[in-house]
Amino acid sequence: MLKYASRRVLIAVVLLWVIASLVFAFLHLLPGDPVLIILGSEGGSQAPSPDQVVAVRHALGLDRPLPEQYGRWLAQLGRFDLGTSLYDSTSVTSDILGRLPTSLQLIAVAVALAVAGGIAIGIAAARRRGTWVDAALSGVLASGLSIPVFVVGTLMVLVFGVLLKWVPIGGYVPFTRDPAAYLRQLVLPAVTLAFSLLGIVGRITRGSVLEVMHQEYVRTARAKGLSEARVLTRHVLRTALIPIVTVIGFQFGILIGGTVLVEYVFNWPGISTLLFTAIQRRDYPTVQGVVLVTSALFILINMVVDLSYAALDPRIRYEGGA
Amino acid sequence: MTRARLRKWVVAVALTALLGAGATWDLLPAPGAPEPPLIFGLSAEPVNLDPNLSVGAAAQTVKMQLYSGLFRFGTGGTVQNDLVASYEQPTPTTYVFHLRRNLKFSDGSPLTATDVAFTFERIADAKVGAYLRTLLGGVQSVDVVDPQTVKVTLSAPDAVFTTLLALPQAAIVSKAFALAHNDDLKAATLGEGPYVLGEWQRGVQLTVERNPNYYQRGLPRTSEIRFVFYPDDNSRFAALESGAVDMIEYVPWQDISAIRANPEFGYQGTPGPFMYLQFNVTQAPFNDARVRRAMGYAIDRDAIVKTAFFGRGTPIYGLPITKGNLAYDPALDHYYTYDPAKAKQMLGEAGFANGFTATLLSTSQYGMLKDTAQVVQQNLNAIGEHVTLALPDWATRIATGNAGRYQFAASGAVGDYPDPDFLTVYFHSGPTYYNYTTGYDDATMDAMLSMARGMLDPAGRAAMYGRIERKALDDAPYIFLNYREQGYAYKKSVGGFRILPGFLVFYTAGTLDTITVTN
Amino acid sequence: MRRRDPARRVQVVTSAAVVAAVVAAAAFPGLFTGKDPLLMHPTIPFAPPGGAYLLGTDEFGRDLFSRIVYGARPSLEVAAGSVAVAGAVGTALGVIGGYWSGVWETVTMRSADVVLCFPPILLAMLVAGFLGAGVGHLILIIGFLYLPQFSRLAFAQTLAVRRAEFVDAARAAGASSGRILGRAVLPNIVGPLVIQASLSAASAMLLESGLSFLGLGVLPPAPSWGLEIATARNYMFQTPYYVLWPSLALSLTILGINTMGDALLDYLDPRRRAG
Repeated sequence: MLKYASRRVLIAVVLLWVIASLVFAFLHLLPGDPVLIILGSEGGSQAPSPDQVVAVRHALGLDRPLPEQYGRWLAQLGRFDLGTSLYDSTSVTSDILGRLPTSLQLIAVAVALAVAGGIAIGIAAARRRGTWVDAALSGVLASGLSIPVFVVGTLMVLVFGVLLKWVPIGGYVPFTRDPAAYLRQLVLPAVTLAFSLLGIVGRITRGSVLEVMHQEYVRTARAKGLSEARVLTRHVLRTALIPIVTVIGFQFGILIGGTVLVEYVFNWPGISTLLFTAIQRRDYPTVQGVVLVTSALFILINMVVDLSYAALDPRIRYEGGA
Repeated sequence: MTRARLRKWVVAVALTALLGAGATWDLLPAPGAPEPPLIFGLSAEPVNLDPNLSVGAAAQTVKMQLYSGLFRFGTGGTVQNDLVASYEQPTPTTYVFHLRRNLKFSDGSPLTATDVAFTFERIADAKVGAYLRTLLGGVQSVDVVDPQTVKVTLSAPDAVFTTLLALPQAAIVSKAFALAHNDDLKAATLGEGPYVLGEWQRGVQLTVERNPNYYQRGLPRTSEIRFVFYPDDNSRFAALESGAVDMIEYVPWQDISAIRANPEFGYQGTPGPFMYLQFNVTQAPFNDARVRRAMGYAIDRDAIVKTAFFGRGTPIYGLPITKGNLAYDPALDHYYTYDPAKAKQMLGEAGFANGFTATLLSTSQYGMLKDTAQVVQQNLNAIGEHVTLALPDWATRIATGNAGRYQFAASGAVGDYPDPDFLTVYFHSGPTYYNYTTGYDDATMDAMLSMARGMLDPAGRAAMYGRIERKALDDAPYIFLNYREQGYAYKKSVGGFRILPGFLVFYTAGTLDTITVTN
Repeated sequence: MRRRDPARRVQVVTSAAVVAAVVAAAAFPGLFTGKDPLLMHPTIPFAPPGGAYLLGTDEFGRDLFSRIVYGARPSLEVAAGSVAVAGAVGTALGVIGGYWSGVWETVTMRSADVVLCFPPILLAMLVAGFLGAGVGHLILIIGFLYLPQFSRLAFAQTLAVRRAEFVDAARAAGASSGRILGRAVLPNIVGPLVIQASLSAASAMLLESGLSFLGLGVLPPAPSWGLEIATARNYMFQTPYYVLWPSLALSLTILGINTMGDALLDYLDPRRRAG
């Protein structure tokens, strides 16, 4: 087991390095000069003079030969230093640390809602399979998969923010300042994000519940006189839980990506909007930093899922884990 | 202990705890000051706080609370003394500035002529990237006569020198502080303005608190301003309507009518920034002035104002120079009209009877630029031209523009200062810049502009600008389209707000020190 | 339970109709509307639905119904194009890796891993943000992002087939690799690949609309549903229904494709029919 784990960790590190290098290459080989953009983007009417451009480029270290910049960056990474933003000289690490928790809060609540809701709907649909109720509930699940998350979000804002005026639109109040307001703000984006995940969880639940429901041991349990609820929780759900957990782990990457749209629609100051703004401004260090951190998280989660699978199922370890 | 007594104990402890919690709830991180703060909805998070750099209007608004300059713009847009108490001009090229007595930075350290001299040096330093480096390039030497007096010598007379010093980018910084921070003032601040930087919660909000060492007694009237970032137009407006903020800038055009009609809010707006077409005059079809002038007739400016700006704007049929400006000439106000037939005829004369093919550059990132471009394209295609749109994101738009790789583009800007010399950046030859026409290089125009800047006599200047304007319109390196309205909206509890007119609207933040907020 | 329940049947038929209508709108928009989606009428912005303008007009006075109809094309182009690219290239890579193993396997599978290491929309944002938007770019970006799904599937299927006895027999009899691939491998992997294609098509449409929404996809003035939603967001206070039309169009289309994909899955995979 240890050998398998250390192999996976090594692969993860190598992957990260590959990604880091690819991103570096991509950003630096692109057309477009960040210096001109920094000096000019909202700078107003006065054009920067050529020597100003040269001087600023030198101050930012952007005129060194590429291999040197690359080496510098790798060295920084070794020190866990993600560099400083080209725009406001703040440390990229502190920017990320400031924004990552807000995204994670959103994801955590969304996952909780989606799992609870998905399982409930999935079970309900499975128990009434073939009826119109099943069709309706499955329709809800299918909608979760089909309606784009930004459409859900926009419609939520429209109905609850604009028309009914129940919830404030945008503006972020941190938890420490006003917990009640924070929770009020969290509701809509979390529900929006949960809606798509709910579709997947619900489907899997429905599928595995159906599969398990008719098997021998369940019928035996029922014959023994156990209540429906106990049958469900004791036997059915336990089996169904494994693929659900797997898919959530797998979907995590999609979730991190999905938060881009939710954060955008609800003006939630998370890490995805940090990336979005940095891309718009060609703030290379920030883009590199966020990409790296997000990939690392993604790889980490996948690795954890893989390892827990291997721990549970010895066959996987021995097959080499492609 | 009996059951009953235990129960009583528990109840007592619980009640005490609740009481204590209720009492201390107020002591949790609270806004602080007993006077109500001004909560201001800002349209973007400031990129950095270096006063001599220019990084957008939102950053400007915050910086103007923290810093002051030698001069400032007062109501009505006139140049007034700020840190300067008085000054003389012994020769056309020499200025002697007398600073006020006992000026201090917010930490109590004295502000002296040394800091003024250092600021000039800093602005002239290429690697700082100061906005006014080129405009203040005529400064030959800055001498510290004594701690209260600075003598500045220019290489040539400059009619706009004091106007330039009133710009927020000319704010004075502390020499000691700057040197202690490696001349990097992007996040570290020490100013002499009405407020001091408080807490900056990245991505959320930024607070400024009253500066006890501000030289103007009794100001600022409000003890604290909390700038909350609302980059999304709808959220910002909704925040005002719902009462989450007291005041916003950049009222979205579609909401202006509604807020003006709403008795619970006040609104002040002014036209100032303007939209225009710029050209690459080095290649066809826009290397021909007739083609450019035809554009002036082909475009339905009313449609642009109506659709892109919800009617909140005014068409420009000449140059963006309004009544009250030294160079205003009413005869030039209607150089163009909306006359598509005439445009088509002019294009025919220029050899494009079957229409020209061109790409109009704009950006997808800013609604007003995107919308203006769409209307222009429509107008031109309606008279038989073949115009396609290029709508990259802003960064690419800048890169493409700076490289001159376009045929014509739709742009928006605001004059830096209300003096007609603002035309210089547009019409003077110089390096290619994304917001200006590429390739317009006219020695006569250059000479006229320099001369006009150096003439200290207002009548002579006005006459000279009359000639400049005519040439500008005849050569047509730009076609100006319309002004757009720039507005601020606020709750009725906010008092003492005065917007600055025209081009100065973005410096209105300088008047926030007289704002009051009542409960 | 092998019978198709009536609710399900209704679902499948409706979805097929919706998808067919959307494809027709994309291919022959002129059949659905005579108006020009780009023609502005600046005097009547935000006209209410009804009368000459079925769904009303937008901020430039352009007919919303036409913009919805013409908006189908870029979404379908990107969905179809990217699935074609991902399917063709991905399958090729997967088959090569699965059939010849060794170095080929490592290369194709590891590169698939790298692509999968990253949330797709963020990667697309990066590329589109820096290289520019537009239908062509999107097809390449999204096609690239979905390669691993096809290559992994093709790889697994090829592996399974390769080990089958009849393949060994064929090789022993002297058949060339090409014949074996064409006759034995490919026909067996077509089924799962088609299913994957339909899943990816819906997914690609989701991704494209998200990118257009962010301004990184189809560019104005050409109509596209994601872009329309983004624009309509700005005017939600004044004209709430403006945002409804493209939202409905987009959601119903993706729902339709997903339902069709499910039906296909049920049809091709007997085990699934039970649920």
